[in-house]
Amino acid sequence: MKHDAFDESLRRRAREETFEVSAQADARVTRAIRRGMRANRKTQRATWAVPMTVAVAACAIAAVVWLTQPITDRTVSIEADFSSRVFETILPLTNGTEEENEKNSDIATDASAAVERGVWRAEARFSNDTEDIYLVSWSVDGAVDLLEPPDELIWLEPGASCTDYAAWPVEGEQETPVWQYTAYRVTADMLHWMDGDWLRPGEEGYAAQQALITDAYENGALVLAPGDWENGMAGPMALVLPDAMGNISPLETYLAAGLVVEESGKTGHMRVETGATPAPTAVQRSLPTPTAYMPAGRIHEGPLLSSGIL
Amino acid sequence: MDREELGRQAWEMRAALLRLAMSILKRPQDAEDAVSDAIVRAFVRLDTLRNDAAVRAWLMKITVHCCYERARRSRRESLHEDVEPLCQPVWPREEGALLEQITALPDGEREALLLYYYEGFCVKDVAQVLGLPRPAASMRLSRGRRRLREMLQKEGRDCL
Repeated sequence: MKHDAFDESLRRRAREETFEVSAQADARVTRAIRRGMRANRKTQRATWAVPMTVAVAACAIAAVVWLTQPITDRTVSIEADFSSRVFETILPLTNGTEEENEKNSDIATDASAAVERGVWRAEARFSNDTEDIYLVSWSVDGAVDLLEPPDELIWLEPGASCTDYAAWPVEGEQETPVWQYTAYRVTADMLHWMDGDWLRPGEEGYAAQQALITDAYENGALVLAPGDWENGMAGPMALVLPDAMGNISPLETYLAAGLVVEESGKTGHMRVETGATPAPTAVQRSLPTPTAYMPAGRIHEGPLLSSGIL
Repeated sequence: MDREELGRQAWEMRAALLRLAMSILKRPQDAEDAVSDAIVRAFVRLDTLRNDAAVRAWLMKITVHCCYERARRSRRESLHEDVEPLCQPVWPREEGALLEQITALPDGEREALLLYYYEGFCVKDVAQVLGLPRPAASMRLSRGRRRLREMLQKEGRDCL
């Protein structure tokens, strides 16, 4: 940015302005600080409480085992005790933190299908219990003429779950559908276009928008298109590249650049639900697909927290 | 930093946090909710604050994140909700404050300019707080600043 007289005048005006906070906002901030103090103490207690409880229980079990052994066995060494299963359970807890113990290495999946009036209706559920952001794609083998295709890419933030749907006509024998998914871990910063419309060539502002996207891409950021991301943490998401790069696959390009990493995948039979699958209710139909939810009480850490100064 | 000090910092920064939240969310209820969430989250995540001197940017960043989360939720819920209007959580004491013009800028530019001029952050810090690559933050600042100048000129106000 150029620093000129205009810039200086804006700085001066901003410095000189003073602000008033409403009594209601003051009260809410006060309550939040109190809640924060309590939440922090609770977390600290929980962090110590888990290993302490396990350690006390383990000591009690060890003492009982030790006391019930014949007297000649009571000379067992400390090293032998630490190699027992009891201590194997305790040691990681006392060395680690609560978060590390919760951390999983991959996303959890579940897929089921049912035939309803000559149509296979399948749903795939993905849960991200990791600390990373994932993109997931899935498909059903041999499903042709899809009546409802799966979303191409699903965005899954830490702690989020979502369900996606697919439907296709039953062809020939009703064999158990085989599905597959691939999970891609997002390793880069990202630019999620939230500034307004996605402009097309010739529209006002198109060049500036493309310049911004190009800057982001060249600086190693993943560029996400705007769209139907109507819920907070998961949903269908399209990756984009600057138009100047031509008609190439954004996912493959970002994979090649290492901004997303293919992490895991699975092929397997879907669980087949017996009996008719109930039709979605009006409420279900009105929800965006997939639908994300946040487990109760979980503190979310998303892309903004996981990078930079935090 | 201990919890008491974080509480003091959050209290002193409340006007700045509310101002930032309002610039992103525009709705008083959402802004107050986002700032409350951010403060609680800051306490829970206090052990991740690596540099006490960066507490201001750290709290701002958590607030921005909470605002974006709330914005996504609000977009989904706004069709069904009938929110009662609340009074502004924070407002300038002076007539014709610069904040009023900044508030009229498009999404993205508003918060960038607010952080740059009101919080005195450099472009790098603005980028970090908003979770953007530096060129993207720079672009938003340049565009916002240009738009602000045009806006002031159109209103016949002295740009200097």
